[in-house]
Amino acid sequence: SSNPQMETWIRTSSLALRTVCLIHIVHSHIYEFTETRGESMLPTLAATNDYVHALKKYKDGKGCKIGDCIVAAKPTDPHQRVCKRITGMPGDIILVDPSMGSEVTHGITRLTDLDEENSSHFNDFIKVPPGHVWVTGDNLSQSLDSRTYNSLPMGLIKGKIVAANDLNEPFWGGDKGNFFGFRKIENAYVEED
Amino acid sequence: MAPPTPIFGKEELSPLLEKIHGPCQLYSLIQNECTYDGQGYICVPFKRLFEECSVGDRTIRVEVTDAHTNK
Amino acid sequence: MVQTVIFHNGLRKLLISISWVPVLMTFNEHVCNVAKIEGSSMRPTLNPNDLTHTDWVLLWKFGAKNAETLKNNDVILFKAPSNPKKVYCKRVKGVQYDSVKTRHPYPKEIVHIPRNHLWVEGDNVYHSIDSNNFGPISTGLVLGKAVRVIWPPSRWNADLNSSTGRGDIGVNGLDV
Repeated sequence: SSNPQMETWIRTSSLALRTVCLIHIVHSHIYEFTETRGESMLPTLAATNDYVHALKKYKDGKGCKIGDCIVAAKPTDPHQRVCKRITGMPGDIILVDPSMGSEVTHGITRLTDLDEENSSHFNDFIKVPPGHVWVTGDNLSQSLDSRTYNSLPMGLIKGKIVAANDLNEPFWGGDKGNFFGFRKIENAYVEED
Repeated sequence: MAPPTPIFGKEELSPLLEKIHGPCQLYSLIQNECTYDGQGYICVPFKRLFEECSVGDRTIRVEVTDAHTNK
Repeated sequence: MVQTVIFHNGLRKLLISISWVPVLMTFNEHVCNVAKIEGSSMRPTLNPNDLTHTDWVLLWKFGAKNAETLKNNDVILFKAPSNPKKVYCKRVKGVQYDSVKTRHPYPKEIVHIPRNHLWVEGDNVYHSIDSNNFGPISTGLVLGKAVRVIWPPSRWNADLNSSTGRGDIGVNGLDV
């Protein structure tokens, strides 16, 4: 070409375009390392500076099970991402909100004359519809989840969280894990004896 | 928002539970109730119990958490 | 010697071509691509006669997940709420904060559409599984907006707004 400067410029921007798109495709289809914030997944994920490793093959809920920790688009604000625990799969009959949040949060003891058997905590059931999952934050006291926005369509699931790094922890040898608080995020649903 | 999902009580659940003949297995999932005390978060575990039972050739999962399971 | 040079040139060209694949994918996922329309729920607007042919549409994706860019009577493709592997094509009949009149089998007569949600219906009103079955959908499920029919050529002039299903189903705020 007659203009070497122009040629360099085109080469650089073409390379930049291909690199950015490659990173984007990897992030949306294979793997993403991303920051999380908020108190809703305590104590599994710290409220600040915790970074999660998400696998994208679980996109659209493919292969997801009850007890898995997932990242999804928030139904009422799809540009925002949420991390939650799956606590109900399609067809499951689950309690809308069994947590007793207020008592723990405010340290109030339950009135003894309240009929516990019939309290709505343990008597409001729903059946999770096909193609949806029920999600709740691990911190039931401070989490905006299915208890507010109902079941989550699996089409909004972006991936499964398999591990996390807490950057509040030291580079090596923290409380949570060796390298920057590295630990696996396990499925929380276990068999009882 | 999900499809219209009715909320129902234990009474409406009983006809379904009566159909269960197969063996059941109990599972648990521990979540938490956390509060901030000024210095850090204090989390009290909250255990949720689920029962998986076979009805005919399929398995149904019903949550069985109640007031006594977290004492 | 000449063979090795040709081989290296070929390999180089192949690698350069591969490096453009993510660019193409990103373009298809976020700007536009083509989509095949299945089923009869959008008749007569789309697939007027699917025995002879199926319509292919140009799907505009840029900004399609923004609630503000989607308007009433837009024809959209979205992931089916009841099955994320399926894609539905319906017409937007209500946007966020609107109130619309539903029809059977929706359990309530009037529904208020929450933030970043849409009410969608098929033009073929009685042969359509739509918001009257599954409720308002999150804009996060939207894949794109159908802008025109691109195949078969006989349908190039098809007007996507020739029929709009049940017409205006909005509820005037005062009536509620």
